[in-house]
Amino acid sequence: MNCKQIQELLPLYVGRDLEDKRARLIATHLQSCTGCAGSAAEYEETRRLLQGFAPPTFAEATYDGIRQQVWREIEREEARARSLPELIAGLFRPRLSWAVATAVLVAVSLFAFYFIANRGNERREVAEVQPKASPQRPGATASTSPSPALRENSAPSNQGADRNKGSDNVLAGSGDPTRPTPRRKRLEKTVERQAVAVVTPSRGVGPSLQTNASPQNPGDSEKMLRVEMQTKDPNIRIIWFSPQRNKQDSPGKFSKGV
Amino acid sequence: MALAIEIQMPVNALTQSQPSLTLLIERAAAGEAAAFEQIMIHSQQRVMAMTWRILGNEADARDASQEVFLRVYKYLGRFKQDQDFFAWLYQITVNVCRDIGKKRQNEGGRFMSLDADDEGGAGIVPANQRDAEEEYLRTQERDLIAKAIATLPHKERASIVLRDIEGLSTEEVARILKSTSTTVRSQISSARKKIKIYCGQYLRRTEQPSNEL
Repeated sequence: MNCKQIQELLPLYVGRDLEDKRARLIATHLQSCTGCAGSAAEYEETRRLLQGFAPPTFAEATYDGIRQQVWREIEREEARARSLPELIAGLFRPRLSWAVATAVLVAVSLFAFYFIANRGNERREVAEVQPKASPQRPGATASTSPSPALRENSAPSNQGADRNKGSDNVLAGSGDPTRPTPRRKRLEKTVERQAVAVVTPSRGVGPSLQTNASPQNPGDSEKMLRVEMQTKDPNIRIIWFSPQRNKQDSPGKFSKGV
Repeated sequence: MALAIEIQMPVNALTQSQPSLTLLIERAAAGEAAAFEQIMIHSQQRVMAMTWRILGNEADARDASQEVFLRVYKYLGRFKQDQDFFAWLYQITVNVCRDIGKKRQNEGGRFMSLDADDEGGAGIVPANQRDAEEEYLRTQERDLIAKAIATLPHKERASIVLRDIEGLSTEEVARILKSTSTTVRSQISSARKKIKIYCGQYLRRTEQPSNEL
């Protein structure tokens, strides 16, 4: 090994940080090279100074002060940690907010479900062209086809339809045709009621009146008239609803003949 | 009673009383204030000495020691019982000293270069001039080394303090600094060269007037 290499390894050599083989080689070199030996001595001196690098003796008061300061800081941190959650809770209570948000979500979901279901029932109601069961007046024919007919819904009994009054006046018995339609809540009741009868005039051509309603309870005095008028154009149908309060003597009695 | 006896024992006896230290650590981690107080008492001298050696002055050493104990308190729950407590403590101390050293540098503080003229140098009595009081000599040597160490970058400073002053092995130093033995050896070698050059320059500067005489 040459002096340059030895000089590079001297810092580790004096600190006993070299492996034995290299350390022996350096020791051998130092015995014959005064320059490298002088450098080694300087490194040894520096190392002696480092090992003797003792801090001054600190007073007990210094250590006491350090500990007291540490405890003060710990108390401060803990007080801050305690107050911070309370502060946040005062402004924003997570649990309460979650509860409120969940309740709002449930309410909105229920409303949406109710709304959508209602609309679905409406469509079903519109699609119900034919009533389910109804006794028919003699001479009257039940119309099951979407022929030009004016249909009226009322709330007769289970067995029969409450026939509309006045066959010519297609709007008779249908309540006030000028009332705004539709009444969705009552439409629900209508949907639940049994279809009663479809009465169409035997005249054939022309609008026909169809009544399709039955009371939920036989003694129910409130009837919903659903007036459905099919124009000559099969794509156009007019439907309106009106309440009809009608006391019934017996279910299924026709109050109107066609 | 047993704890009171331990307070009076010398610091190096702590390694012999490891089981009691383990118990203290467990109790302190569980939240017992008295146990943590004992841990501080047992390790305050070691921490203060190390922070003073790395940072070079008492004020910074005090600040650093406080921060070290605060971090020990905060992270004592994460300390694993199979770890060496003092190695863990050294790790925290080195990190705190690095943070404070950076802060001081940013404030334009105490960083010293090899060429800087320092006030303390004028007061150092050359070793060959006269027999000075031992304490004064020790003070001067201490100041010299403190200044030499202050010129080192943080990693070399930590390596040289842990290896040459605290007496830890290269492997232990590597573990504390989260580095490899090869890297630590390289840092130690570089640190020793720089300290030797600094001390040599300084001593040559102070020897010249006597040589002229």
